[in-house]
Amino acid sequence: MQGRIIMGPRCHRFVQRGLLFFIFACLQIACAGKQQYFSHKDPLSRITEYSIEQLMDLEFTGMLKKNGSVFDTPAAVFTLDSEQLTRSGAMTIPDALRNIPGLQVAQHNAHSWSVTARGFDGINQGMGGQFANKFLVLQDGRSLYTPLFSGVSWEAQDVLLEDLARIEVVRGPGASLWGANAVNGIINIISKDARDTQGAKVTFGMGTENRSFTHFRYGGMLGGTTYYRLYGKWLAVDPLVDASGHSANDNWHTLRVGFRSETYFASSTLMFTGEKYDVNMDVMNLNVLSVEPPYQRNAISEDSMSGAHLLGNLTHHTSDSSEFSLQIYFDRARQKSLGLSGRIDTYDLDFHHRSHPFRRHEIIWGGGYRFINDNFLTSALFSLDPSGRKVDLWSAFVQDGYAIKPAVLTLTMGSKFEHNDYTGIEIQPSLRLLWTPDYTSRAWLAASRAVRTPSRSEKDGNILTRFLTVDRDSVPVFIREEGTHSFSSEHLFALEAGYRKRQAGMTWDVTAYYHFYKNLRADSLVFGFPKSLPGVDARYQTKHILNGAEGWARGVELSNQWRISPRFELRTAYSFFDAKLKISEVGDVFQQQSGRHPKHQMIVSSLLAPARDFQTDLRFRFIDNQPLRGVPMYFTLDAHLFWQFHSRASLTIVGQNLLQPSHAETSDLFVKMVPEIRTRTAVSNIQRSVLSKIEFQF
Amino acid sequence: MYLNRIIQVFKDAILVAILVSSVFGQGSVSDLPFSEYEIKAGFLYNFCLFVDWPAEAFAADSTILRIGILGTDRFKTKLKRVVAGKTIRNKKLVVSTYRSIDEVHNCHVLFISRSETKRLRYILGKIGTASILTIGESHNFVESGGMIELFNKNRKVRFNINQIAARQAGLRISARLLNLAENLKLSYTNGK
Repeated sequence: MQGRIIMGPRCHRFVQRGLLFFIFACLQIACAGKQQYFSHKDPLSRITEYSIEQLMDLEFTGMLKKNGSVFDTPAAVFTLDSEQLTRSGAMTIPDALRNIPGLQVAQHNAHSWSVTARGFDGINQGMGGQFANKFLVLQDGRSLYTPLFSGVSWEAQDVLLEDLARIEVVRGPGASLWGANAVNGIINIISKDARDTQGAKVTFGMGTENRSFTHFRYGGMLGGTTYYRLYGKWLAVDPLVDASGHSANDNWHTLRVGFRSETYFASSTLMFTGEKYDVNMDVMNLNVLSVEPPYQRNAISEDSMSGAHLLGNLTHHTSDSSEFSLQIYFDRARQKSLGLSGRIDTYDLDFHHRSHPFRRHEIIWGGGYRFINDNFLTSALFSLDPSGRKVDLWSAFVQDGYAIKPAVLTLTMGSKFEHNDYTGIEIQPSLRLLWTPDYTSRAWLAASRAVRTPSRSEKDGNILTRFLTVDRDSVPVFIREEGTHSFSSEHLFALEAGYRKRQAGMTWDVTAYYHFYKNLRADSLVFGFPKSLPGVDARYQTKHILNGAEGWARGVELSNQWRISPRFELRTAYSFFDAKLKISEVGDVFQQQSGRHPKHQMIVSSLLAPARDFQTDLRFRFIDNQPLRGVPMYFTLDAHLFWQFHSRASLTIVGQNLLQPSHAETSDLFVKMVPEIRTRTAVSNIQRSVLSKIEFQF
Repeated sequence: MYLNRIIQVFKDAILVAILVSSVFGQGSVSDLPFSEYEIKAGFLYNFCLFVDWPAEAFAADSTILRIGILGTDRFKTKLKRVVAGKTIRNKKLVVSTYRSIDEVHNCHVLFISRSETKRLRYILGKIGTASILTIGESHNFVESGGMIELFNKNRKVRFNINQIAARQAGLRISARLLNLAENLKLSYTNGK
C-alpha cells in the first residue's frame, strides 16, 4: 500500500516539521515529568482553591458515548457545547459545524451543503452527488447517513439548535466503534435532556435569506419522574443567486414537529424521542437528459422530502462501574425529486455494555442489527434494479481499554465486525495509545482501518449521465452509468498522532494524520455496443463503477481556545490538507483530490460579553482557493449580537458572510473538465445576509 | 502568490508559538481538567464553608467535621484526596462511607448517592431534623426534603437548595450560596 506513495518536496517539509514537533514535544514532556514527579502535592487537592463561583464555571471532562472524556480520548475529538452553538449565530447544523476545527463545510445552494473532514466532499459525483460519502452523522444515536447514495441529505436534517446539548465531532476513522462509513470522521448531534428544557419558549425571526422562521418549545413534567418537551420549527429560506447575479431558484421550506421524554428510575433512564418533518424545495437541475429532442436541457424541479422517526433508549447502571444501553428505532424517509422518488424504512436495534471486569481493563462491547427496506419508482433517467430491496446489517464490536501503567499509559484496542449483504464481512480494527505525561497534557497515537461500503445506487443504480449522439436510425444514444455487483468497499488505513494541553485558561489541540486509501471508486471508460433502453426509443452505452483509484491524504489540524477573562474568549482553528490520488486501472480522473479542496483553512472567533445580558461575537473565516474547481479563496465575517432586554425576552441579530455581496464556496467547473456532462444540481453563490429574531420564555 | 507566502509564514508562526508556549508555559496550573466527581468533591468542600451548624451538632471537644457518603461511592478516593489535611473552622475534615442509613453516626454532611433514590424518603425521614446537611443527586432530592440537590447542566455542576429543610435542621446557609442556587425551594416541607 505504502509502495505507491509519491514523495515530493512538500512531503520532506512535512517530515521536517513533524520531527521538529517531536523534539519539542519530548522536551516539553521531560520538563513536565520532572515537575510532576518531584512535586508531592496531590494536584487534585487544588480543587479546594477554587471558589464556588469558579467551580460553577468549570466544565467537567464528560463522557462521550463510548469513548471516555474528550480530553482523555486518543482521537481527534472536538465538542461544541450549547452556548457556543447559540453564539455562533448558526441557523442550520452545517452552519454550526463551521465552528469545528478541521471540518470542511461548503454550501452549494440555499438547501445543500457538503460537510467532511480530511477531504472527499464528493461534490459533483453524478446525480445526488453532493455527498461527503466518508463521513458518518448520528443524531441521538440515529444514523442520518442515507444508504441510497452514501452521505447525508442535509436539506432534510434540521433541528432547534437551542435544544442541542452539544455536537461531538471525531475527525479520522471511528469505525472500530461506529462501524462502516465512519472513514474520515463522525458527527454526533446530541439533544438536551427534556429536564433541561422546561417551560415554554417561542422564537420569531426574519431576515434577508432566512426569510421567516418560527420555533416553539414546551417542556413539562408528568407524575414526578417523567420530563417531556414538545417542539416545532418552521423555516422559509429565500433563493440565493447564480454566478451572473440572477435568482438561483433554490427556495427551501421546512416544517418539523417532535417530542422527547425521559423517565428516571433509581438506576436507569428511559428515553423516547420522535419527529415528523416535511421539506419542500425548488431545485435548479443542469443538463437534464430526456429521450426527446433537445435531449438535454436545464430544468427547475419542485422536490420534496418527508419522514418520521421514533426512538427508544434504555440506559441502566448495573453497578458503579458498569452500565448497559439498549436502543431501538424506526425511521422512514420519503423523497420525491426529478427522476427519483421513493422511500427508505430503517429498523435498528443497538446494544452496548461497559464494564470494568478486571482492575486495569475497561471493556466495552456491543452488537446491533439494522434492517433497511426501500422502494423506488424508476424513470428513464434513473432506475434501480431491483426497484425495491431488503438489506440486513449485523454488527458487533469489542474494545478494551488497558491501563498499562495506571493514570500514565493506556492502550485501547478494539474492532468492529460487520456483515452486510453487499460485501459480506468487514473487519475494522483500531489501536490507540494514550500517554498522560502530567495532569495538564495528553499525547496519543493511533492506527486504524475503516471501510466505506457500497451504496445502493453503486450496486443497483442505472443513471443516464450524458447524451452522446443521434445514431443512423435517428435514435439518441446516451451514456449510462451502471452500478456494479463486483464493486467492493473502499479501504482506509490511517495513522494519527495528537497532543493536547490545558493550562491557564488555554487549551491547545494539535493533530497530524496520514491516510492511505485503497480501492477507491473510479469510473470506467465507456465501452460496448449501444444497447436499447427498455421501454423507450433510445440506446445507451455503458460505463461501470470500479474500485480503480488509490492514494493518500495528509494534514495537520490545530485549535486553540483561550479564555482571556470570564467575559472574553478567543477561539482559533487552523487546518492544512493535502491529498494525491491516482487511478490505477482504466478510468477517468474524477476522483482526483489535489486542488479540489482548500489546502488552508482558518477560523478565528471572538466571544465577548461586555455585560451579563449582552453578547457580541465575531467569527472570521478564511478558506483557501480550490484551483481545480476554479473557486477563489474567500475571507468573510459572521457576527452575532444578543441582548437579553427582559428577564423573559431577548433579541438576537445575526449577520453572515458580511465582507462581500456574494461568494462561491464550491463550483461545478470540475465536472466540465472531465469529459462528462452530468445531471446535477446547480451551485449557487452564497450571499451576504442579516437576520433578527426575538425570543420569549415563559 | 504573496498570499501563499503569508500563509506559510503564518503557519510556521503558529507552530512555533504552540511549541514554545508548551515548553515554557509549564509553571502555572490554574485550569486543570477535572472530572465530574472531582468537581463535585470541590462543591462538597465549599458547601462546608458556607453552612453554619448549631453548636450542639459537635460534641464538646470534637475537632472533626465528618462528611458521610451513603450508598454507592462514585467519588472513589477522590473526596478523601481533596479534603486530606484540610480544616474548616479548626475542624479537621474526615470522610466516611456508609452502606445503610442505620450506620450513620456523628456525621455533619451526608452525601446520598443516586443508588439510594428509591429509599430516599425513608432515609430523609430517618434523619428527620438532625443537624446533618443532606446533599444528593436524585432528580427529586429537593422535592423529597433533601437540602442541596446537585445536577449537571451542559457539563457544568449546578445545584438547587431547599432552605426550609435546612432551617428545620437548624442549619444556616449563607446568602452567597443561596444566591447561586438555580432553584430555591422555600415552599416544601421536610419529607416525612
